[in-house]
Order: sequence, then structure tokens, then C-alpha cells
Amino acid sequence: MTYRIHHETRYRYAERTTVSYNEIRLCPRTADGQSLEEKKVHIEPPPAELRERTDYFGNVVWYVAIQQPHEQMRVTVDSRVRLNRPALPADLSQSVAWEAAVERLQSTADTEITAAAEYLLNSPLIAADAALAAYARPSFAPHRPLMLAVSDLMQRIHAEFEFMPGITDTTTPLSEVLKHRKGVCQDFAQLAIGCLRSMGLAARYVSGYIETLPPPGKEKLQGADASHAWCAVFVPDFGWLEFDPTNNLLPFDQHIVVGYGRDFTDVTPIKGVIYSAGQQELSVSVDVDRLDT
Amino acid sequence: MTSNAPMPQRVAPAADSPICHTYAQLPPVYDELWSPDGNIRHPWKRFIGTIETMGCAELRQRHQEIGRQLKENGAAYNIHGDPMGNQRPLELDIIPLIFGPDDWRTISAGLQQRAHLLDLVLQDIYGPGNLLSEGLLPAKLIYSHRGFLRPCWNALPQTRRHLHFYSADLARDTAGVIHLLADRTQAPYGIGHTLENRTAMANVMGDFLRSGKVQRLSSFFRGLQDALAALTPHGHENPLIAIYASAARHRSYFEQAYLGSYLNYPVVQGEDLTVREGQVWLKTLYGLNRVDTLLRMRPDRACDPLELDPTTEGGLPGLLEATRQGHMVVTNGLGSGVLENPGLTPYLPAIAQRLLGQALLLPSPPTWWCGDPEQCAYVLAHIDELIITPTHQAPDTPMGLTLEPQPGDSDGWRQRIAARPHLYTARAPLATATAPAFGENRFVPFPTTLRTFAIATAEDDYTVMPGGIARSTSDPAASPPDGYLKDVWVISEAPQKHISLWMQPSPIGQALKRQAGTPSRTAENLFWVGRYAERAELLARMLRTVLQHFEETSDRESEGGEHCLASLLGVIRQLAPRPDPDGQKAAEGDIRCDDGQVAITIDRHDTVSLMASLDALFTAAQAVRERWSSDTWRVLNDMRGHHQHLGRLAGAHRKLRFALDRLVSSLLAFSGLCMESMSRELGWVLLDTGRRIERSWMLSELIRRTLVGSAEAPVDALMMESVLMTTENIITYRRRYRSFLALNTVLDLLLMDDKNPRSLIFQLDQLQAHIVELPRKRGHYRVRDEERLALEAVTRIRLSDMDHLCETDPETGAHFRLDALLGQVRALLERTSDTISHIYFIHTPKSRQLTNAPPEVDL
Repeated sequence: MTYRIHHETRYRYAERTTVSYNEIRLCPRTADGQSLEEKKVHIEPPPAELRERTDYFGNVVWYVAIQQPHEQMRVTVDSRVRLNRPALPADLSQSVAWEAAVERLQSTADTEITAAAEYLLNSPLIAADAALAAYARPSFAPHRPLMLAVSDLMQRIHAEFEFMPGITDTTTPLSEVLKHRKGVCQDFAQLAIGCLRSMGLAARYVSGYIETLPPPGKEKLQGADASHAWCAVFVPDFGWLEFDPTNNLLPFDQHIVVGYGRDFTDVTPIKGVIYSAGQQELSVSVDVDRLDT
Repeated sequence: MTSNAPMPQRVAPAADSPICHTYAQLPPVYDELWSPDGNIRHPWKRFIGTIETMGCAELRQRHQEIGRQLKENGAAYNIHGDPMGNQRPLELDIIPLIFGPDDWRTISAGLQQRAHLLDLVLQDIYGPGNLLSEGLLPAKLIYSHRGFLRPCWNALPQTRRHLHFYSADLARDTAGVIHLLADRTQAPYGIGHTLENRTAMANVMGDFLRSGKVQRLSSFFRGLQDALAALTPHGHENPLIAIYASAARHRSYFEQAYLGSYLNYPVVQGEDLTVREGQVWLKTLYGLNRVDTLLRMRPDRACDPLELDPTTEGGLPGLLEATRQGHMVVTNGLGSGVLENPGLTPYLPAIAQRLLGQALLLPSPPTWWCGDPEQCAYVLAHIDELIITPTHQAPDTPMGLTLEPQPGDSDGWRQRIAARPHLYTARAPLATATAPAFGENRFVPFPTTLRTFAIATAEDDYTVMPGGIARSTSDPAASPPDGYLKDVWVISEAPQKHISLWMQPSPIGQALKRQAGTPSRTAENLFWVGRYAERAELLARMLRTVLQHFEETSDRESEGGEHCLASLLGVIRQLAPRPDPDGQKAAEGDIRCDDGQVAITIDRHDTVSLMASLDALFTAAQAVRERWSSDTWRVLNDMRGHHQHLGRLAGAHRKLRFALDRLVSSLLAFSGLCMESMSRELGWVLLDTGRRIERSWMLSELIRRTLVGSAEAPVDALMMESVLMTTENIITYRRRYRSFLALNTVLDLLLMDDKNPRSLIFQLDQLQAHIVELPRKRGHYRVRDEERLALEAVTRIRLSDMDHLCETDPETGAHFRLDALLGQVRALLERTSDTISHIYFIHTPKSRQLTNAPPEVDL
């Protein structure tokens, strides 16, 4: 499966800035079963510096410094991504019991588990607490296989929360989301992560895209025409299992990964420092096209 | 405190003994000075011997002298940073903490090993991560630490060492063993104070330092300069090394400025710098100057708002990317704060074995990390006996503050530990050895800790400073801080040679001579120092004249007197409008006629503009602290004293007048020092430009508001006399024109006399000369705007005809031509000032983030 992604972002500043420094995370990363075949980034006004590197989480970052007076910045990213994902686990019940996973995650001997320890801890936007644990608990019956418990949690979030853009922003705390039961994909992903961490499990945030055109005969997927976000749980003896609480499914061949992180702050698409007063306007447009089947 | 030491014997004579160095009673623990058998320990013998010949009274005198010196330096070690300067400074004790060669060898070897080890740990954490994958460091301990900066992963400077500076807090236990209490790995906080303390000690105790074979610090600082110069990635001849300072109001700013001025490094902040083409540049009056090395004295989180903490101010966006490019070096490497974690302590012995194949040389008190269930269980079971500390410490935590158990509240700690155990550590308290401090005319034993410093030298080894800074206190947690600071003396086996920073130039030392160029912000601050100093002086003079006249006017009963007072007060108020909270015009009403007597109220408001000018002067002067000689700084400190005094004197006319006299003297001393002691570099040119602009501006305003006159209030002799007095022209005038007061002769002296340093034309001539010296872009020979403006002002005054100027308007009775001329000059001066400010100073608006920053949470 190959996709072409076109992502255009425009920031319009309230006042002119003489310089700006930006970090852009909009390039699909190389991931298990995903390869990047082509990428092109175009920035207006032309930057004095544009450098690519791989960050701590393995995501692609562009450092962009613009050194001419400008009132807006346009970032256009075109990429082609090939998906060849390994098959999803055939039977979710064939996974370790969740309590055993919690215990295994405390071990310090296993390198893989040590690496996952990062995602057990709080992160800037996700703090484990009793309320999140209480919400999660019905999905975590004693000795339930971890994947089944997570799948159940995902279904509950999908069923009990309403997808509603515009009432949350990138810094809305989880307690608000839990209270109002409304939000967007980012909120649901972070909610699921918060629930899992509150149970003593390791979970990470995944940013990316989801195919926009509905396959014939199927319902249109929410989160189209924009960046998407979902999450992944660490399953001992298996690895990271991705799941999408916004759409209640396990990502397979319609999700394109841009970045992994502890939460949104690690994969913020564009971060920047400008020298100008006032609020800026942001507009984004995204197209995800399937090139073959 | 418990001790296994033998029961001490009484060694002390009666309290009125002339021998001041004996304690009333030997402390029941290890004491630095006295051994348990009542003998003076070897390293102290010479010091005590010198005191015995010198006598107690002399020692006391010197103790006071050192206090006075440090106060003049303005170097209060503000343990609790208070921008208002209300903190009580810790006194520097006349008694140093003295170490013999054997003890210091132990300390040096221990710190060299520790620095080396921590450097390897740092490289591993931000690189391959073997310590984590091998289980030698628990992942949670690192991942949850606020100092673990993920953007710094793989971004350490491309130098062999990454921990260029290492500082450690040390203490001796009651058995005499030296322990390491805490690692400081971000910046050498305290190194500037150490330098300053030693300088003060050398002034007061130079004879002791020389005869006692005390190791000098200068070779250490020479080594530091060489080491920093050798870091330069391009290895070029003339490295530009700057101190990346915290904000001027920060408690540590003083020592940073002190260090900068000693090492001859510019002291810069984020707004002085810019990142272009992957390099860091210093904005100077001559344009951008490439920076090779930044010695940062600010926490790493606050260094780059793009990649690190977006909520911090004064950082430099793009700095981390510049270090990745490898064209410049930041010391210590960004991210090194991850090592300031007491939770590492239990793991370091095994890591030292693994990485160095050695046992740790310096012990630390037993420490537990609560993130480990077993250690946590121990801590919870013994919580009342332990000192609990979070894993994250403020980078500039003053030493000793974590020494003693937190008071009570073990339940509070219990809850916090239960919620997020991996964020807490506990350690056994250390019963600390005592050292003598000089109090009440005698030696008193106080528990003492010290901090010392190591640098990674060009030879890839660590050099430990033969000295440091110590703190003696009976209560380290007291607020305000309690106790004394001490200089640390290390006795050498060989006599000490004098090495000063400029006596033995090495090839690298030579390179240090390169001029960094005056940073634009420095130039701007100097410009405002000039303007505010001048404004304060003229305001003080005017107030003084008002008070003087007032005292005389009650006898004269003249209407003119009243008018004159009102005009002068009016000028003062117009120059700096008083705060007017009630929305009333307050200028009237303060002068009133009662029964033919003029009453005047000089209240706080009238001094407000003066006080505000002085405040602004101090702020600007503080921001360029490294530019002032110690004499100049002493004068500034005196001025600060007068300023505080002035604030308390409102209403008391006579006292106020005396206070103003003293203030004017200080301001004149300051301006004299600026003229006579500052090198005539660009910085000085900007300072004097500010001064000339302000003086001419104030002078034209004063003349315009007093000598233009009108039909109702014609210019009278009293008014002219007041203006001459205020502007320091009265003596010259009397000598030249005897007692005949006329407007044309007054104006001749005030406006036209180019030999009179208080005349308007004199200021404008100077201004014009300064402006010519300001740097211009290469190849630009056209007359610049600021030159044209100054030329125009000079020409207008020179071409004025005195008789013409003294003409009055037949209807209004005002000297309308004088009014117009001064109005034009004033406008030209304002435009000159604006133009200079626009061209030469930094105009970076406040930076802002494109995305909202998340709140800080505990991980």
C-alpha cells in the first residue's frame, strides 16, 4: 500500500517578525512496516537554514531558521509512504495478563523493558491519577490478557466520548476531557495513554495521518483531512501494539505514522519562536491519497 | 551530634583572655583547628602564630575592614535572591578554612576521579545509553529527572570532555573523614565569589597569605582560560569566549560580572546574541562578532526556548542547534543538569567499578533512591532519621542548604514519596566537623562545609582549584541565611610564585587580547548610565536651590521669591511627572502664601523623579557591572546609601539639603571617575554621549522655563541667580560680571561660552565630536543622520545673535526668540538620541512561541 501525503500549514502573524526559528515534525518516519519513499519540504519565505535530523524518539525533525522580515510562514510537505505492516495479532487473548505486564515493566534487567520505562512515567501533558485509573479499571478484570483489556478500553472510549472539534486545544488537561466526555483524536489518544499509565502500563503517543477516502461500502473515518493521533501500548513478548480510540480499530493499512512520543509535546508538528506581538492565525490542509492497492 | 572522638579536654582560658583563638570549650566533634588533645593542628600553626604576635585587636580591625571592602564591592552573597537588595549579606570571616597538603591531595584526587566518572556518565546518558541497558542505572531515575533534556540527546559538544566545569560540596565528618555531599555540574556557581573573597583577603591578610605559603588561585584561573581557549572548535588564533549570564537581577549575576571582568570575557545575555548560519554571534557596535565558546552561568533548560524550556526568558533560540553543528561550544554541555541528581549516589560505586575499574575515593553519606522498592522501604521505615530531598535540585542551590534534616513533616514526605517515589531520595545526616569563625572577639566553632571547583584542562585531565568557598553555620536552613562565608586556604609545601593573568603570556594567552567589541546592550546601558547620572545631578541641584531659596525667602517676603520657587519646582515636576493617583493636578497647592509668608512643602513626590533617576542609574550600572573599577563601584554604592537615606527624609528640609549635598558630591565623584578612569573606548563614548545629550536637554529646558519670562512674570534677578546656582555657574559669573545680573550676560555664559564646561554649546561640541567617533559601515562616507542633527544644533546656537535673542514680544513680554531657539535645540536633541538608539542599540521585541507551552509537571 502506497500513499501520497500533501500537508500544507500556514501561520499568519499579527505583526511582522524579522527572524523566526522553527522545528518541524511533519515528515513520516521510518517505522515497523512503514518506509518513506519520497519527501519534499518547501518553506516560504525561503529559510536561511533548513537542516534535518533524527530526534531522541527517532522522528524526523527539520530545523528551520528564517532570517528575513516576514508576516507569514508557509510549510508544504509532500511525501510518499509505503506500508507493509506485519499482520495484526490474530488472537488478542494470546497475550500476557495485564498484571503480569505491570510487574514485568518494573524489571530492570531487560533492555527492551528498560526502554519502555520512559512511557510508564508522566509526561508534560499526561499525568497519571486516581480518576484515570478509576475510568480504566472496568476494562482490567483480574488476569485479563493485556491486549483484550486495551481493546476493551478503546471501545469504551469510542462509545462514551463524543468526537467534537473546537472545545479542546493542545493544552486542555485530561481531567477536563474526562469530565466533559468530548474532544478530538489527540484528547482520546492522550486519555487512553493516561488510563494505561495510571494502571502501571507503558503507553506512547503516535502522530500521523489516516486515509481520507472511505473504502466503498464502509463508513467514513473521522479525523480525515487533518493530522491524526492514536496511541500504542507496550505488550511484553510482543512489542508495541497500536490502537486508535477515535476510530475504535487497530491501525493496519490506513494509518501513516509521523512520530512517536510520550505525548503531543514530543511530536508537535511546528514549534517556533518569533519576535512579534499578538496572536497568530494557523490554517492547515492535508490530503492523503492512496496510490495503489 | 554523636561522636566517637575521645572526650575533649578544656583548653580555654577565661573569657577575658587576650588570646582570642581558643574556644570556651572544645567542641565534642572533630575540629579543624584543635585536635582532641588540645593542640593546634599542623596546617594552622603558622596562621595562629601570626595572630599571637599581631594581637586580637588587630585581628578584629581587619575583620571589620574585610566586611567594609565586600560591602563596597556590593557582593552580598544573596542566598535568597532578592532583586530589591533587602537581603542580609553573609559576612566573609577573617578566619579562613585551612587545609594542609595531605588533606588537599585527598580532596583533589577524589574530585578528579569524580569529575572524570561523571563526564563518562554524561556521555553515556546522552549517547549509547549502556548504563541504562546494563541495569547500572535505573531507567526511571534518569527518565523522570527534570535535568534529562531529551533534545540534548546526541547533541553534546564535539569536545573530548563534556563536563568542563565540575564543582562539589564537601564536608568533614566527626571522625575527620571528608565526604562529598553534592555534585554541581551545570555551572561553577560560587567561583566568582571565591575569586572576590580571595581578592579581599589578599588586601587585608596579604601578610598571612605570603608567610603562610598559601597556594594562589591565579594559576588555576590561567588554566581555566587556556582550557576554554583550547575548546575552540576551529582552533583559530583569537577565540571569542563570553559568559552567558543570568538576568542582571539574578542573585548570581554579581559573581558572573566579577568573573567576566577578571577573565576579560564579555558578560552577555540571550538578547546580545543571535544564531545565524548555525553559528552564534555577539551583537556589537561594529556588527556581528562570531562567538566560539559560551561559559554558561544559567541553567541549561533556560538556554534555548525553541528546543528546551519554552517558558524561560532570556534564552537564545537556535543555540542547541548551533552546538550540534559543532561550530561553537557551550560549557558545560547543555543537558549536564541530569547529573545533579542525588539519586545517582547509590549507583555510582558500581558504575565507577564498571567504567574506571576503581572504587570511589571520596565517600558520600549513605543515600537511598525511593524509586527502588527496597531502598524505599528502608527510607519509609527510617524517615525521621533521614534527610529527604527531591531528585531535582535547583542548579544554583547554595551549598549547605540541604545539610540538615528538614524540620518535621515526615507525614508530608511519606505522602509525596508514596505518590511518586522515583522523585525522592534520602540520605543519612552527616555530623559535620567544626571550624573556627571569628565572632565576639574570639574564635567560635561552627559546623563548616565547603565548595570547590575543577576544570577539564587542555591536557584532558581535571585540575582542582587549590581553594574554594566555605560556609560556617550552626543552622544551614535558617532564613535569612545565617553564619559566615570563608575563604579556603591550601598550604603548599613549596613557597608560592606570583602568577598573574597577564605576566606569562602563552600562545593561547596572547590570543585572549582580541577585543570582543562592545556589545550593543552594554553600549545601551552605558548610554543610559550617562543620561541618568546627569539627570540625577541636575535634579538634585535644582531641589537644593529650591530648598536654599526657601530658607532665605521667608526673610525676604518677596513675590519674586515665590515665583522663582514655583518655576523651579515646575521644571522638576515637568521633567519627571509625579505619579498622580488621584488624578489631581498636584503642582499647585504645595506653595502657598500665608500671612505674607511663603510656605513650601517638599514631599516625597518632589524627590520621586530624583529617586527614579537614581534607580534607573543603578539598574543600568548593575547591568554593566564588569565595566566599573572598584573605586567607581564604591562611589556607586555610596550613592545607593544616599538614595535610601533620601527616601526617608521627606519633609525635613535642612536634613534633605545636607543629604542632597552629599548626593551631588557622589555624583560628581562618579562623573570624575568616568572621565579619568575609563578608557576612551566606544563604551565611554556612548556614556559621555548620553551625558552630553542629557545635560544639554536639561539645560535648554531649565532656561526655557525660567528665563523666557512674560509680562506677568518678568525675568528677575533672583530667577537668574537660581539658574546660575543650579547649573554651577554662579562663581564664574560673579568673577566675570561682578554683581551685575543681566539676561544677555547670563545667556552668554549659559549658552554661548564654549570654554565653559557647563554651557550649552560646550555640550553640543562634545556631542558632535563623540558622534563622529561612532562606528560606521565600511564604505559609508556620507554624513549620517545623527551627525547632521548634532551639527544643526551646534550651528543654530553659534549663529544666534545675543541682542536678537534678548528681544521681547511687545504684547506678551516673553523672550520669544530665545523660546523658539531652545525649542528647536530640544527637538534636535531628542531626534539625535532616538537616532543613536535606533542605529546602535538592540531592538529585539519579546520573543513568543508559536504553540502554547504545557505546564511543568513532575514526571
